[in-house]
Parts: sequence; structure tokens; C-alpha cells
Amino acid sequence: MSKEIRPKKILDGDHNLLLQVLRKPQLMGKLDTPGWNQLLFDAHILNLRARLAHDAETLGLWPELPDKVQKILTNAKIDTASRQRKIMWEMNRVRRALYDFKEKVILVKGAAYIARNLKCAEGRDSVDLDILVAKKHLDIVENHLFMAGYASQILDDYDQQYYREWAHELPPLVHPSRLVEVDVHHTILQVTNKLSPNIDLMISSSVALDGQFHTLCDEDMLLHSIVHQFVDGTLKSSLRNLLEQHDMMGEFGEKPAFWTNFMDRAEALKLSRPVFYCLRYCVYFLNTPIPDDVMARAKENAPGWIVLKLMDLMILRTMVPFGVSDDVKRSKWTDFLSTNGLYIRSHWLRMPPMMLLSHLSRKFFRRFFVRQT
Amino acid sequence: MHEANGTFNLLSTAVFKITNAAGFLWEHMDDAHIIYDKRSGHSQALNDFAREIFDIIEDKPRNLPEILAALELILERPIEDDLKQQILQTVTEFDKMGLIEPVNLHNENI
Amino acid sequence: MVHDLLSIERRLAGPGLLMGVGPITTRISIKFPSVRDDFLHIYKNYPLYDGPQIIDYYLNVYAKNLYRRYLRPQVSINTLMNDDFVPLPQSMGLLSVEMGMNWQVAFGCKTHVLFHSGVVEKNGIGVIIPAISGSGKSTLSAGLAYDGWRFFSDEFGMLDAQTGDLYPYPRPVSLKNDSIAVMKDWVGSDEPFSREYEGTPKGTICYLRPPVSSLEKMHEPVKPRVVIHPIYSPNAKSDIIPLTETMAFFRLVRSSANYGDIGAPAFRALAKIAKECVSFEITYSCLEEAIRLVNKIIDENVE
Repeated sequence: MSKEIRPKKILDGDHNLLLQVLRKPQLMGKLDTPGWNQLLFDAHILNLRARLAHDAETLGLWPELPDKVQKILTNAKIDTASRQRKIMWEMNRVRRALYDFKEKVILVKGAAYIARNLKCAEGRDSVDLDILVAKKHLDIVENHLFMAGYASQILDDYDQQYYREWAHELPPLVHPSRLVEVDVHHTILQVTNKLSPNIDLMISSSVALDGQFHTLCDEDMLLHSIVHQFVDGTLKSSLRNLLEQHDMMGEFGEKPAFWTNFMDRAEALKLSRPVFYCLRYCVYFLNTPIPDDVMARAKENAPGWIVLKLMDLMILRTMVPFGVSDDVKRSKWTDFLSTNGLYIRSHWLRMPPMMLLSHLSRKFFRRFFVRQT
Repeated sequence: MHEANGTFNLLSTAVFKITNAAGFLWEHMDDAHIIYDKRSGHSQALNDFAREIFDIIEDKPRNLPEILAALELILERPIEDDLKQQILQTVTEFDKMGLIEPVNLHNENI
Repeated sequence: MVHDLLSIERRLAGPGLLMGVGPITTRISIKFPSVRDDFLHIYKNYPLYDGPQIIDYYLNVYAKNLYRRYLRPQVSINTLMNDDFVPLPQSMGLLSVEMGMNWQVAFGCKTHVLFHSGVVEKNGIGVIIPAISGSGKSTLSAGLAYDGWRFFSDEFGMLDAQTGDLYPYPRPVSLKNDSIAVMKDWVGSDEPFSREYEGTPKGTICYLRPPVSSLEKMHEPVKPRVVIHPIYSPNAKSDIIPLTETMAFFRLVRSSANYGDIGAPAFRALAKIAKECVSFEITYSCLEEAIRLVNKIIDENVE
């Protein structure tokens, strides 16, 4: 069976200015006003303006940018910095709340990137604080947080039950005086997902930031990001997530054993398929430098060509927004369909079909009746 | 309610410190000291007395009895019960705002 | 700059019109002819750009579908900033436009410390008038603007945290209920006013265009010297109460929409205002009285 390994060029990265600039930030030095408007518009929709600011500064391009662009990018920088500060402060408060809890607390997603000073944290908007603890400690952690004044965001009994039975996290908690959502996870995928990796393995390999707070090890951190994008949740902010993986590969890939360890780890945790997707689209959109042997190994886990075609079609359509002056004619309708198509697809993977049906219909009917009253 | 009890138990035993990483900014106003915590982005007003307690903890980490002893030295007289209560309250507030924290919370960077 | 009315109208209906207010450039497009008329009347004298400009905000005023466009017209807006506004009937379209622009600034602007306040200036003296809704700050700011002061804003004080300068953001004044008649009387002409929008959730609303002289100087900053917190109370005796520095500081913090986001520079800037400006609370029962109190404060406290 022959496999077409490059995605078909429905929307080439070369046609989108934002992708071009993400690949080659030097281009920012050459933009005219319409170019800037297009770039800033797309970057706004995808929450990547602060990232552009960071890239421009790192490359010493900042002084060459038009004043107005500097102002707009500064605005984004301040915004992102303040969100990151809020996450860090929430981390501080959670640490205080868990003063009497002596077991591992693992920071995941944005909080981990910020705490470890990773490149992918630069200019990244983080909204929630995500932590991971062993399932057996969930109750005690939740109790400590309640005692410190956190309250559950989910008041509805049905939703509470749904979270506790099927979700990979506690119902979100919020401290009323700070309003940052704290998600306490016990695994990284919905418990019903057939891909659910061995979380104990991930927890035991975590690395300490200090005594109590940890992050996942490099390989697992990247795998978590991949799982989050290609198996779980919606794909609305997919380019940002892909960029995060691209950054991690660039940063971790410099360590000699990383790639071998990473591919072994993906196999051990049965995540080779999503890893294939990640590598495929990172190379396609962002020209991520991935060693040939790694790419070859990843392709062994590619899906059949029909699935691959479908995946290409959906990913290509969700990755780049329908910008102000995009040359490529795209319909908002198909964009919507593919985003929501992906949502259903990832939901499908999360829950057995009958359960999904009952969950969706309850949600639907509840909304319907609430509307009526 | 839980919070008050939990804090109270901890308060009587724990040694509190001002974190090094805090990076506090101060502004001195006509009738208060305003402290700005760069980590939280919160500003609080401290009167002279609260400022004194803050300085005592900043000077070196102390538990509650040690804070009281230091204040007695400064005031040159024993501290009565209702003042003790106020000091306890101030220290509780400091802890709640994150201005101070129990010492064995490590990692100065987070 | 564009001046030709036909091309302005065409841009506004189609790809979007570029309009500048103070430091902010917005691209606005409006699909409803009647809303365009209201918009162009109240934004007469504002700078419109013809050539390419780098755009801060995009505001799209549209109908969700043909039913909402023609049969039961309803105005929806998209600010591209996580908004979720309830659509309004076509007759209240200008309210949607104003709400959208307010939202974009309140939610999006982080380069300036924003105060929920009016700001005016005379003889180089910047006055910040922070207040909650219903305190009469819009009426007082507009009253001063049509009494020889330069109008900066009735809603958004914009402070550059680094330089300590206030920047004008002179959008139309939003007047409610009784204050509409008061201001029409005060201005002495109906021309700078919008239609009156009756039956809104806040009662009747009417917009007032700031004086042309203020719009012409919309890029000239001023140093803040005085902070006045107004309290409108129809039966109260007028009163002036000085605030301590600490009170002045915390009131500014509370009135700021983005103090927490900007961080340390905002702290320093607000502390500077609390220490270097004079701060008062005034209680008043009518516009003339409020203006008298403002002038009295300036005369007695600022040389």
C-alpha cells in the first residue's frame, strides 16, 4: 500500500503570512501596512501576538518595527505577562493550601512551561492552572483546597457526577478572590479513552522543581501536549498547541538521547499514532527539524490512507483562521464543520458511543428547557 | 470556618518568613504604608503597627511567640491579651495575602 | 483623510471605515443604513483615514441572518474579543456600536492605565473624575467640556504609566434620562446630540458629540493635577471633602479596569497621583453647583 505522506496542498503554509512569519520571524522586518494588518489580525484570532513580540525581540527586530506595531505588540505582551503572573500566583496559593500535603504535585501544561522557563512559555497565554496528582490523593487534595477557600465551579449534580465518574479531573475549582480556575487532574485523558496511557508511569518519571512540585519529564510533557491536541478536547487553538510541540521538539531535541527516549516512550504509553500526527503536521506547518530516522519510525504508525486524508482535510482547515485578506477562498461554513467535526471525533474517542449519546442529549434537552423557561 | 481553624492551628506552631523572591514595592503615604506584591499584583495598606510586625518577620523568620517577644522589646512593656489578639489577626491576614509564609514551604522561585 | 461622504458611506457599509479616536484606530463596518446614519452623525468631525493604517480593533455590526436583517431587524456585533452581547433592535443600533467600542477598550487596552472616569483639562491642569455609574460623571464631564474645558473622556481615563500623562480618548458622551434635558439646555443646540433611544435597559439614552476644539486636540496629553470623586444627590447640601493620600490611592485602584494587569508600573503611577495631586469627594445636587465646586477646588488648591 502506498501512502502519500505530504498532506495535499489545500492550504499551503506558504499562503498564510502568519505561518510564514512563525517559521521565519525575520519577515517581520519587511512588512508593509496591509501585511501588518493581516499578520496582526490572524495572530489576534489565534492568540499569538505576544509570541510575535517575543520573536521580534529575540531577533533584535524590535527597534525596526513601526511605532504602532510596537504599541500593539506591547499591549499583547502586557496582557500575556499578566495572565502568566496570575497563574504563577495561583501556583503559590495552591502550594500554600497544600502545606500539609506531602505527596507529589505535578504541574502540567502552561504552568509547567512557565515554571520550567521553556521556550514554549514565551508569549503563551495561560488561563487555567492545571495540576496532576495520584488518583488516590484526589480527595485529600480537594479537601485542602476547600479548606483554603476554593469552591467548585460545578454546582449541578448531574455535571458533578459526570466529572467524578468519567472525567480525568475534578470539577474545576476557583478561589473567589482570585478567580483563576484550578484543574486537578488524576490522569491526562478521559478515563474511558482506549488510548488512556499508563499514568503511574508518567507520575513516577516526573522531575522535581523543588521538593513537592514537579513537572512531567521532557518526553511525557511533549506527549501530554500531543494527547491534548490530537486525542482530547476541541481543536480551536490548534496552531498554538502545534507551536508548543514545535518549540519543545526544538528545545528538547538538542539533548542527545531525547528522540530515542521519546519514540520509545510513545510506544510504551501506546501513543505512537498521535505522535505520528504531531510530527506530520509540525513538519508541514512549521518546518520543525525532525531527524529522518525519527520520521521514518513515526510513519510506521500512520493510519490507513482514508483516515489520513480525512485528518489532513480537517487539520488543514482548522489550523489557520479565515483572515482579513486571505488569498485562498475559504468558507466559514466548512471551517465551522471541520472544527466541530473534530470536536465530535475527539469526543468519540473519549467516551463510549452510548454514553456520548446520553450525555449530549441530556445537555441538549437541558439547554432546550432552560431556554423555554 | 475551616480556614480560620486550620490557620489558627498552624499559626501557633509555624515559623513564618518573608519570601526572598517576593519583590515588594513600598509607597509611604500620609497615613499608611502601601505594599505592592509583584507576584500577586495586589496592594495592601499597612499602618505603622502592622509595618512593625512585617519588619520583625522580615528581620528573621519567627513564630508567633517570638514575634510577640520582639514587639514587647520594642514597646518596652508586656503585651495585653486584646493586643495579642490583634497581632494574631494581623499575622493571619499577612498569611492569607501571601505576604508571609510558613518556612518549610520551599522553592523560593515559585 | 477621507472627506467625501459617499465614499465614507460605502466604506462603512462594506470593507470597513478606519476611524481614529485618541490613540486607537478602529475599523468599523455597519450593515444597517439607519445605524450608519446615526453613526456618521455622532462621529462627524472625527478623523477618518483613507490610506492604510495599522488597525487596533475591528468592529463588525451585522445581522445574524436575512430574517434579522430585513423581517425583524436586529443588530449583532462582533468585537473579536470574547464578547457575548445580546442583539438589539435595529432602532438601537448605535448603542450596540458604542457598547462594542467600550468593550474593546475596557477589555483590550493594556498600554495605558485605564480609569473608569471622566477626564477634562483647562490651562494645563488635568482633572480626573472617577466614579461609578449614576454619580453624574458623564454629565459633569460634558458640562465642563461645554463650559470652556477640553474634553478627554466621560468614561475612560487613559494614563501613560511611564510618563504620568493623561491621554484623550474623546468618544461621544453617553447621557441617561434626566441628564439629557439638562445637557441640551446647557449646550444650547440640538445639533451635537444623537437621537434619543427610549426603552433601553438603562432608560432613555442619548449621545453627545464632544466640542470640535476637543476633537482637534485628541493627541495632546496633559499632566493630572486634581482628582474629584463626584456624588450626585438631588436633595443633598453641596460639600467638599478632602481625601487622604491612602484613600485617594485605593479609590484610584478600585476605579481602574486594568491596574492588576499592568502591574508594578501602574502601582507607581497611581501612587504618584495619590501623592502629587489633590483629591476630593464632592456632593452636589445640580450641574451648575458641581461646576462651581470644581472651579473652587482648582482656585484654592492649584496655583
